[in-house]
Amino acid sequence: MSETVNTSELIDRLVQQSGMKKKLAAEILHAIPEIIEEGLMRDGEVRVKGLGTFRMKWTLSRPGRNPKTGESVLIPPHYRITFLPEQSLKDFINRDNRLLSYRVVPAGSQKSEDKSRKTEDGSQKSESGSQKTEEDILFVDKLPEAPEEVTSEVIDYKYEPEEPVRKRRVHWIIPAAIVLIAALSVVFYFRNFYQAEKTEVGSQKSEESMQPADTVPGSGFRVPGSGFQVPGSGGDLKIPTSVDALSGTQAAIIADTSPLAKNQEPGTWNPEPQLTTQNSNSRLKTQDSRLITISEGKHLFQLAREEYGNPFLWVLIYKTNQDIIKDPDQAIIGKTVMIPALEGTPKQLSQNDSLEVAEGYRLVYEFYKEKGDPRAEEFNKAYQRYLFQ
Amino acid sequence: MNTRDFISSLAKKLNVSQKEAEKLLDHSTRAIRETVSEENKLTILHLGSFQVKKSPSKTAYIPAIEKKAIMPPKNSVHFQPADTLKDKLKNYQP
Repeated sequence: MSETVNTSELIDRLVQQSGMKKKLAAEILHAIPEIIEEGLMRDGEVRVKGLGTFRMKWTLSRPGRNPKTGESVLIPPHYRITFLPEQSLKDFINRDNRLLSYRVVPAGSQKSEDKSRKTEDGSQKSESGSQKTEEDILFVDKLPEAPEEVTSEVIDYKYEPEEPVRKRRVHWIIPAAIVLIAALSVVFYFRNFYQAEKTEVGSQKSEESMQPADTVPGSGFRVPGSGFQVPGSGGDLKIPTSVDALSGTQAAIIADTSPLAKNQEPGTWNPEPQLTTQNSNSRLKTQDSRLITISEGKHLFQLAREEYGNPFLWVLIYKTNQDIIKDPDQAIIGKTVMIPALEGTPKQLSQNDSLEVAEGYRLVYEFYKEKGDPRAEEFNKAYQRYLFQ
Repeated sequence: MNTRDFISSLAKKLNVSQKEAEKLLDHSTRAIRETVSEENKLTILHLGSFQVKKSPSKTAYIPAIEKKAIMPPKNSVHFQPADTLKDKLKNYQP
């Protein structure tokens, strides 16, 4: 019955069960005793998962006998190796008996001790005895599987080691966090970018930017493709009210198309403007001209539109306030500006007015020429157009 | 030495990862316990022998209910360390 199973057979079994290589199985079964020995030497206790605990236990000296000679010897105190099987191992070994429980010995099959007890107590026990038997029967009913019966039954119990179900760690948190961070960063980036853009625009309006702006002088805005016409030969400028903003270049380009401007050669200057400046100086003293302090950043173009209703007259303001405004491209802020009066209406300029405007255009032309700006030519043409109105 | 130390040292000896070592240990312990329960005796080289002792059903007095009862049969595992292991642990000092 008790045929010993060797390590080699165990290895064969291990190979069959798990499908691992024989060499590896042998290695494992050689490694386990070594590890147990090391652990016992170091800690005095080794717990092997699935088997139990090996432990060094101190035993006191006790009398013994030499098995060969039969002499009585005192065995010295020493450590011995003990093994405590795990509960799972116990259960596994007792798996055939796991449904069994003890059964109380029925009253009928009394032994000598019970009989003696009954005799001592007397006749009262007979009644109580019947009660006891009822209790016993109840007890047995509760546990109907008697050991003999159940042992005969074949309990098909198959041991299946419960593989520990590992909970997956929350891996989705990492990609979710990455996505969230990316989204937030994008949002913040654009927000900052937007704010920076705003501040840039504000600074361009308020402060004097050193870089020459690409925009047309005196105009902060561009309205492309506006149906705007400037009659070349006529003395009056007909500006539709729908046009909110128009750049000086556009006007200059339109002026370029006029036949008068084409005939004139650019770069030839007449001495007439000097006379007009004298006129303008006299005109500054008139009551209609006034001083305006500008708190918000405004371009000359805007200012002229607000004051005269004709944005192209910004050159007049530029001319009169030349000591204050140096760059016509820059916006004005925190400065007091003289706005010269006009002899005629802004829509119908008088001859002196047109000369004034022409002088203003000339000044701008000179400014751009010094700067090397390509827009200078257009202003030259505009100057000539106004001059011969 | 607890289970974690055991697995880590096994992984070191076999040159495998800890997960792999745990798997191998599970397989081997499963094989050991099955052979022990089926064959009743198993000897592992350099470790010792495991033996299942079967105690038959017997009548016993149960003090809790003050009655005699028939106890079911019970099996128990006993371990006998090998001589080599004993020799190696002769000089054990805690």
